[in-house]
Amino acid sequence: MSHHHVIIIGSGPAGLTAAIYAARANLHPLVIEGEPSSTSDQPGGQLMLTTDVENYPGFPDGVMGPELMVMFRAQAARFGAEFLTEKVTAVDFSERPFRVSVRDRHLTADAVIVSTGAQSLMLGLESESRLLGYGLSTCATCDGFFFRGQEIAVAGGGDSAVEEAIFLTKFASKVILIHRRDTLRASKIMQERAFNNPKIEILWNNVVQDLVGDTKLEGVVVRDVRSDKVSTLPVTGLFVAIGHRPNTDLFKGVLDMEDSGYLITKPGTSYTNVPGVFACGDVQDYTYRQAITAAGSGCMAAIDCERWLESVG
Amino acid sequence: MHGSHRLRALAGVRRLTRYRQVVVPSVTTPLGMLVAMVSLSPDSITISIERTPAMTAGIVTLTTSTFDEAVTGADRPVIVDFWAEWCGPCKMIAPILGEIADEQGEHVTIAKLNVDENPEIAMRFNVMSIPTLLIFDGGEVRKRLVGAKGKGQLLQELNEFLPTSR
Repeated sequence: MSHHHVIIIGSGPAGLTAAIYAARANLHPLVIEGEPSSTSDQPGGQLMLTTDVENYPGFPDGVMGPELMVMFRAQAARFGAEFLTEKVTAVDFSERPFRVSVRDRHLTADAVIVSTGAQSLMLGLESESRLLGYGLSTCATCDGFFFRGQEIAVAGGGDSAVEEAIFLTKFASKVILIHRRDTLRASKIMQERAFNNPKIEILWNNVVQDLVGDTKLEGVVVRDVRSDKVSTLPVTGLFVAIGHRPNTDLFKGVLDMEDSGYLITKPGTSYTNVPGVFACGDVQDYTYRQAITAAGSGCMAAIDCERWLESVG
Repeated sequence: MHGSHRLRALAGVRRLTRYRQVVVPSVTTPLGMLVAMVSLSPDSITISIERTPAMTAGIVTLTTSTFDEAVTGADRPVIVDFWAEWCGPCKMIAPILGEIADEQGEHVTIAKLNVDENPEIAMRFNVMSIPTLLIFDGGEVRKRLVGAKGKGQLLQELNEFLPTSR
């Protein structure tokens, strides 16, 4: 069993900013950064599946999401943060030192910063697992290439959905954005880009009801939420960007959370209900959910953590 | 470092020094990914280069012309990693596959196929998402794994193709 002053669980903008601050405060943080996956639940977090990040200050020409996260990580490593590329399987915060388990290995820590983020929601359809990788995708930047010249669809209406739709027009002949409301939630600049893109068609007030195809996707069944009219779009690809859920399964019954699963922090701080356990980033933020706000809250968590450790000696 | 890669790294450094801040251009080479850390202060420039673990050790690179012979003519399971340069999750599993090749190289062959350069093979096996790992045994596809996974999970999936004495 190895002991660490501070363990940070998660390695998106929040976790890595906390690591930079904690390392510079000589707290020798260990970052348990997660495992590779093709969803946003992976080392580096949600930005690993994006392309241009245009709203992160300091990059007047934009920066690629994965590149930004490589820089965050290198900056934390430069000040001595250590990394473990594994997934936490269990936590025990009932007494100090806290226990954090990675499969059959148990680590202990004086303080823990939780920054496990959020991951993309899937549709929850039975046909989903059958067609994942056969036309149904969670990663536009990985799979857009396979749909050159084809008609495809994106489900969702937020910034991620619109960004994916625009990215996919590089390959597809037409991208249908399926959105359940009559207005987009995406930022105005992204909306304008979508409206002005001749390859993007928006299907308002519709939700995905089922997927057609046995061995590969042949169509998407959609339902109009107003009229209940059901129709089938003859598309060969579907990219899902309908929202996120926080990665808090590990903390059920351990940390206070909203019904939606988001961790509850004391307003204006990163304190959870367990003294010595702090939360930052999207795992506790369902309002802003930006790289910059995640980074800001990661900084708060490291400072809260440092002061708390000083106060308990 | 290979000459052309060094030039690319230097070009990156030159481009980025305009900003006068800590920057990290990275370049992928046959030896792995090189990450350069550049710190500029009024009186000094510090450049350090860090290399991520080599990842190509025991991995065979396949192309459209070598694919069939390598896969059907093999006397042991062949794990083919369908990947591309622009796929982030592919880059994350590459070092893991390198480790598995090092540890299990006598039992399985680990190979990779670039879908950008060899679209015919990707199409033949209906690969529409990367990374996809196809596991061939006796010339047939025995298993298909879609999406990046951690090492533990990957080894578990490959268990049936590895000796049980592990």
